[in-house]
Parts: sequence; C-alpha cells; structure tokens
Amino acid sequence: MFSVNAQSGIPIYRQILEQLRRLVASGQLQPGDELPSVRELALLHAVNPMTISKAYSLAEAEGLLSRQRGRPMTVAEQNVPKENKAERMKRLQPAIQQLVTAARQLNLNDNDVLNAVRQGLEQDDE
Amino acid sequence: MNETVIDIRQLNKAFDKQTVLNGIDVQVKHGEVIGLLGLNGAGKTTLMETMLGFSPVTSGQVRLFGQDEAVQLSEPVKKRIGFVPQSDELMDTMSVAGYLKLISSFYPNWDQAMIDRLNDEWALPRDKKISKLSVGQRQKVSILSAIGHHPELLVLDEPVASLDPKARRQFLQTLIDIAGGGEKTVLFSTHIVTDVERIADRVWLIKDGKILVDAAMDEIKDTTVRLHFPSGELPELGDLRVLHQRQAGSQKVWSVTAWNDAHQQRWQQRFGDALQVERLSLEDIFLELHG
Repeated sequence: MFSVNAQSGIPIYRQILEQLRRLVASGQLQPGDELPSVRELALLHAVNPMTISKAYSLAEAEGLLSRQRGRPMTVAEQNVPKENKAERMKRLQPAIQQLVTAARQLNLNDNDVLNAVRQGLEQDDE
Repeated sequence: MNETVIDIRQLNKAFDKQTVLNGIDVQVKHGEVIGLLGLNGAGKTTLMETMLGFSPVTSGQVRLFGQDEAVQLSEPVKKRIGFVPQSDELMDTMSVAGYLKLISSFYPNWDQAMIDRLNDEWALPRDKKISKLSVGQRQKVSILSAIGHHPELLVLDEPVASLDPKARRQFLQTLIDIAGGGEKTVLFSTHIVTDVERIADRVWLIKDGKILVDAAMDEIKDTTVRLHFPSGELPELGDLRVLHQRQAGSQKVWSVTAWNDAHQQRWQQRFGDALQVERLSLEDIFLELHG
C-alpha cells in the first residue's frame, strides 16, 4: 500500500501522509476501509512505529482517517467531495517538476522520458 | 514514563593527552531510540564505553537510571542494560547454544523462547563451535546474548556492520519488535545512515568528540535544506545556519539548517523562481556536515 524511501529528503512520516492523501483523493481508499496496524506497517517497512503513528495521527487531524478505540484505523467519511481530475493533476505537479528538472540536467530527449514514464505506469498496472 | 535513563553532564575523556570526548552533555528519556552517527574515530565507541563505565571519565558525570555513577554500576542496574560491543566478546571454545545458556544463567528473567525463535529465524547453527562461525554469525550471537533478558536500555555499537542485507533487515525488525511502542531505550551507532533514518527518532552526529547535532529525526529533515540561487544580494539570514557553501558556475549552493516557513517566504520573495529548495536525506546532511 505504501512505499517508503529511506534515502529520500522527505521525512518518512510525510511520505506516508502524502501517499494516504493521494489514495483517499483518488478514491482508491474508500470510507470505512481499514488500514494496517501501526505495528504491522512498522515491521513490514522496518521503520520506527512512532513514525507510522505520527503519519496516522496527522491524517486523522486532517480528517482523512478516523480512530475508534480498540479497532483498526479506518478511512473517514470525507466531508469534502472527492477531488476531481484537475485537482488531482495539480497534486502531481511537484513530482512532474522534479522529473523535468532531472531529465533536462541529464540531457535526455523528450520522447525517451515520456516512454520511460509510460513504461513505469504500465509496469505498475501489472 | 518520563524517566531519564541516560544523563551525561560535561563529559570529557582523554587518553594520554589526546582528547576523545569533549564536553558531551546529553540526556535521554525512557523510550527514545537514538542513532549515533560519526566518522571513524569521532568518538562513538568511547562515548558508549565510557557511558557504560568500562573506563573512567576524565571529568564530568554519567548517570544511568538516575542513580549510579556509571563507573561503579551496581548489579541490579547492570541487569537493566544490554550491550553489543563493536568487537564481540564471545567464547570461541563454546557452541552457540552453550554460550547462550551460560549468558542466560546470569539473568532470572531470560526469555529462552524468544532466543530460540530468533536463533531459527536468523539461521544460526546452534551446535556449531563459535570459533567456526562467520563474522556475521558471531555478530548475531552477540546480539542475542544482549537482548535475552529484555534490557530496558540497549546499547549497540555498530551491530549490523558484518550482516548481509537480509540479516540487517531482520535485525531492524527485531529491534522494532522489542523496542517498538517506546518500551525500551535504544542507543545504536552505525555507518548505515538509512538504518538510522528508518529506526531512530533522535539523531546524534558526533564529530571530533563533540555532539555536533542532537535533534529529532523529523526536525532535522524538515529544517535542513540545500538552496540553489543566483549570485546577488542575500535576503536577511536571521537564525539560519550555513553548514556548507559552494559555487556552481553562476549559481550558489548553500546547505543550511534552521530553515522554516518564514525563511522560505523571504527567500522566495528575493529570488522567485530562481530559487530552488532541495530537501536532503540524512546521508546528504551527514556528508554536508563533514564537507
């Protein structure tokens, strides 16, 4: 469900929070869906459980998740309507900007970059 | 619980005339997991060993669990501590199982079931003589011998240096398993910065016998960035601390710490799109500090 990159400049709790936002915004996580326990995720990704709890707590504060005593964390009923395509595309902008910068620095041609992106997307669908 | 487990005040340590630790002043609360980073010879091992009382302080004070001077740790306090030294102190003539049995005899609360389980998971040959083990296997035995009594304070000096990537991951998971949820206090040194990034909630960067950075993991990553900007007049620096700077063509590249929203705003106003703010991994930060 999540991917954690310990070599990234972005703190791990923010990586998870951002991925949660995306999964909820796109409707891949639906209200009522249960999330893995803190411990389960911590062991799976070999990260400090506090990091996972921090991401969960922030997501709860944002209204993305809801917590009930003794039950797994669930995706909250969203007060805001699901984001439309334009809004979701906007969330992609920073990542695109980064990719473009890197591609230009590496002096790659546009078609090769686009093909690589397509390939990445296809591989992820499999 | 908010108990102070490690309390180090103005610790100095010298061998002959060479200063190895220089004014170390840190406190650690119950449940913290601290990653200790530093180049070879920075003082990591000396800090751990002095803290645990293996050698006397030159000046200053170390208290563990709020009571004992480290140099004369009482038996009850020793039993609350687990230590994995950098070079193991195993007994070559014994078998793995025999050695662990010997260690277990010192501790009434030894968790043999956990040790048996880990022994299998880590694929350790129980009946093999320790002298016949690989370096990595020895390291595993050394770790097992330090955790079977569920120590409240676990001190590990480069515990994964000889482990292969799979064993390293298993070790991290075990550490999470025993320390997760803030029940144990852990201090570990390593050269594998990404492991610190995964496991630690607090980082110490030690350089030339001093703790150069002591910060919460998230804080250090949120506040340390690399700025790329064109030459020209600078915005007000305020409390911004420059770790490292270089010139790349017409661009200036600065690594700074104490970065926050106010700085972001000021710099953006000054440079607009010409400013690029790059987030740094802990490894980058570590290297910048040793620029």
